Amino acid sequence: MTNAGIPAKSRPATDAANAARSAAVLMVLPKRRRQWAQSALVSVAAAVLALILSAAMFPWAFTTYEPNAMDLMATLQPPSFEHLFGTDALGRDILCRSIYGAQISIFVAACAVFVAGAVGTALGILAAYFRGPTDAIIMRLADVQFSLPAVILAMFLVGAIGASILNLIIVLTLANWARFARVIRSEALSLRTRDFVLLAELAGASPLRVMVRHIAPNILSSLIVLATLDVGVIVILEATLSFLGLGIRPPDPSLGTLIADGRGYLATAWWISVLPGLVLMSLILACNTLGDYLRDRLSPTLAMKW
Amino acid sequence: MSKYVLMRLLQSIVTILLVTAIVFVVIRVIGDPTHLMLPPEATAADRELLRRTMGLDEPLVIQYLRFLGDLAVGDFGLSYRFNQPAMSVVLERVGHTLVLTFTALGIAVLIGVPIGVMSAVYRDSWIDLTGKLFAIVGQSAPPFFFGVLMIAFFSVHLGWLPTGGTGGVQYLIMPAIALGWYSAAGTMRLTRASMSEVLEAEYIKMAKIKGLPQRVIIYKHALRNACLPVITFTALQLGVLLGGAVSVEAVFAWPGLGFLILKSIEDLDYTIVQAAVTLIALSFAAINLLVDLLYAWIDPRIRYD
Amino acid sequence: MVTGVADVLQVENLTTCVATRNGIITAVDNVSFRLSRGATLGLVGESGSGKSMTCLSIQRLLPSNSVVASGSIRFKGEDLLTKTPRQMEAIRGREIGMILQDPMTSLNPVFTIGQQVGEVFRYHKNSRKRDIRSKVLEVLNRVRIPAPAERYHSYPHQFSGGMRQRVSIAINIGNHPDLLIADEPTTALDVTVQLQILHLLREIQQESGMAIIFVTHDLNLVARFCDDVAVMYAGRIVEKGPVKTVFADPKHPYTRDLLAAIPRISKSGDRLRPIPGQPPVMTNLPKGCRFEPRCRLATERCREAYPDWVAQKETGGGLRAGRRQWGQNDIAVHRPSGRS
Repeated sequence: MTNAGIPAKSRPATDAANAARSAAVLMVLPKRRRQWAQSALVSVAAAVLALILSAAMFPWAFTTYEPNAMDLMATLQPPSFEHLFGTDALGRDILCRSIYGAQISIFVAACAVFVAGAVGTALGILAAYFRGPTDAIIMRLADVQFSLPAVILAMFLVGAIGASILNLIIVLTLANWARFARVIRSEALSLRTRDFVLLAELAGASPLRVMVRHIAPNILSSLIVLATLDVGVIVILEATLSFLGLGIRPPDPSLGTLIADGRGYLATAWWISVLPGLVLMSLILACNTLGDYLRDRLSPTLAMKW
Repeated sequence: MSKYVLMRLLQSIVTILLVTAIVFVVIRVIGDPTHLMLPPEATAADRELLRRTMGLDEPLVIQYLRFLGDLAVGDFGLSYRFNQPAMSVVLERVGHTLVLTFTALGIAVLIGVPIGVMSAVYRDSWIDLTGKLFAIVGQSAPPFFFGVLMIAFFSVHLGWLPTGGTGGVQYLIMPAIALGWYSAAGTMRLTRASMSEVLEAEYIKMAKIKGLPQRVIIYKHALRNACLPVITFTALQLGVLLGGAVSVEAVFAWPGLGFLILKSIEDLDYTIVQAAVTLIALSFAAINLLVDLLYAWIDPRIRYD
Repeated sequence: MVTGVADVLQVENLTTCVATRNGIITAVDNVSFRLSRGATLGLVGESGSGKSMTCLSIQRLLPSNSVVASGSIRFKGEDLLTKTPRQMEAIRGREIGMILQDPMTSLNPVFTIGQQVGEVFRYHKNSRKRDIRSKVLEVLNRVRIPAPAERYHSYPHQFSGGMRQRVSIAINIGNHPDLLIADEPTTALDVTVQLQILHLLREIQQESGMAIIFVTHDLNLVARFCDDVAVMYAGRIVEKGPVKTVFADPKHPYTRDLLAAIPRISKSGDRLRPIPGQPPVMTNLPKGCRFEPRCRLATERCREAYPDWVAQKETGGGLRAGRRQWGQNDIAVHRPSGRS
């Protein structure tokens, strides 16, 4: 600003601009605050998820107890250094049972999301590619899934085929594939009319090749977002079924059964229900937060379709 | 318009037929009802006799058609546990579940929509941040665990509210909040997203140019457009709530439909399960249909296409 | 320059800043112009040159990330920047109207035409309830919407683009405003419809004597419909004055280039000459003259500092401004109007 070429009279403009800048800075502050809150939340979520995942993968590094080892000398102990989460009526360590419970919950949820995602995506792409009767059949089947609340559909199916880990995965898949199919179908429908897909067809690519090589890669980001958000939903569903006695069967611990176990002791030993429940909530919270973050970053338009 | 209604009606009928077929197949093929109806010491001949009298030896298609016929008159057979027609047992419980779900839905809408609107209008303000926090925690708390937490605090610790059962309003408060909280969070987030998008629209700018008061712009011009996805979501929430009601009813010993289905599955009382699931699917199809018609009423572009 | 009483609008040193992801930009930089009753000012420039931000500043409808930093906007003698939001609500839609670019999105899809036009009477509380319908029909008639009584209950999606723009005009002239801002009102329309709409605006103007700010990037339309013109580039007005004078003898190299880039049927032999390059990125403006990177007359010194504004001559209330060529000292240097 010391340049002699600048005449004095241009200074008011500069001052005005500076005043405006400081005013504008004040306006951006709330946005900064939000961004800060957002990134803090995402970091915490990632840390929590990492902690729970590593505990589930390497339980021996986090606990020295066995999930089903009873200690009748130490029943209903409140949280202490020895038993961080306390013990239940049979003297089993709640922290240890929570870790093994999380292990099973995560395993079941991951398998169910993977299978439901794969099946739903495949059906969604098929429906969008072939349209007509294929589309109609797949979408009516999706309607069937949507016409029953997931918990009730899952209860009904578990009641029919019995409770086991494998059955649980099957049931959770059947109760969740349609969500993927619907969103992926609408994405694929718009891709279907895009030039590069039409060109590939003109060039003589087979339907399979078009679907696998041209459509599938372009819905990947949506799929990742959907799947991440779905993990939270499935974890809740699994915990609900287990809580109701239709999922993981005792004595195997699952976060849902642990909460159910402690219901009779809310007056005397609140930790039996509440602490595994907080682990469950943190797990879901972390998954949802990361899912939201991924959606904002990868596929913002998905928000309304979801 | 009428063509649109007809199309939607047809789709609903197809969906209902598919649901009943699947319910029928799952129950008839996987679980043989004669195992439940006869004492364990019954002979194979007894079982065969019962199968014949029940018509179970006929082809599946015939059985399904007869099932549909019975369904049309609401006859699902006798519940062996209650020794009453299954449908009447189910209908007795429906009222309790409806009270619970609609109270929860009311809580979800009354909390979710206003906070969502405020969050969108005053973006990045403290109300927006608080709302977001509330939504994130809300969507991460399974209703049954939230219920357990509330019992631990309000019933056991403070002794303010009963732990379960039915009676006056005090019995409804905790189950309804436990159930509604989760949906309130979703409603809030969707309202915020939808409202934020609409507030950016050119016709909102035009409304400001017209010099309309802010409340008219927000509640008349913007909300009317933003409520479309919220309405669909709310209707779909009925399903989520009905599902969540099962676990909440179990936690609070609320004598509703979900609790009944749970007990019937445990006791292998399949006529009740069948009746209840079919009823739920039917009401669901009806709700979805109503939502689409409501949509057409709100958005003239759909109505006239 | 004399401040005429006939001036409806006097914008002086208007500076508007926008906070963006990449920093704070000065979208409107020290802009001044005035507009008298019944006159039409063409505001010309490329997209992003600050035309729309200028209009929104006048309406006090800037997006939440923008703020008017300095200057004054005097409308009928009163500074709009000192009005409360409540007072602005009373002014908008009654004394100042504004037509938006895209008629397909500027009408609310869920309300009828009658409801949307009626609102300007209803919420400005200057009509009795039972009069609203007849007032709506009257104004729909004025913007030449055929069979307004039948159209009263129609929804926007049942109208064509041209008809919707007529509805927009009806909404904005219903209360006989003193100023109408038309922000590229015809850009989204067919050429034939374009002229119909502009003729309609001119007719209404002649009846009511309202002033119009006509924002466009189409110099042909400016030549046909405007009295004065102001050319904006990168947030600044680079040249302004009566249309005839500016078009006959453009002083600023940017104006010259713009005029040279217009296709003209009469001179079919001429080659069109597009302006090379792109407008500057607003977060990263050249240090000196903002047009320097694209200017054919630029010199080394233009890169360092903005050449002085010079008053060429004053005509009919409009100020002509050109750019002094460095080293040409024969033109007297004046303070440009509005900076005093």
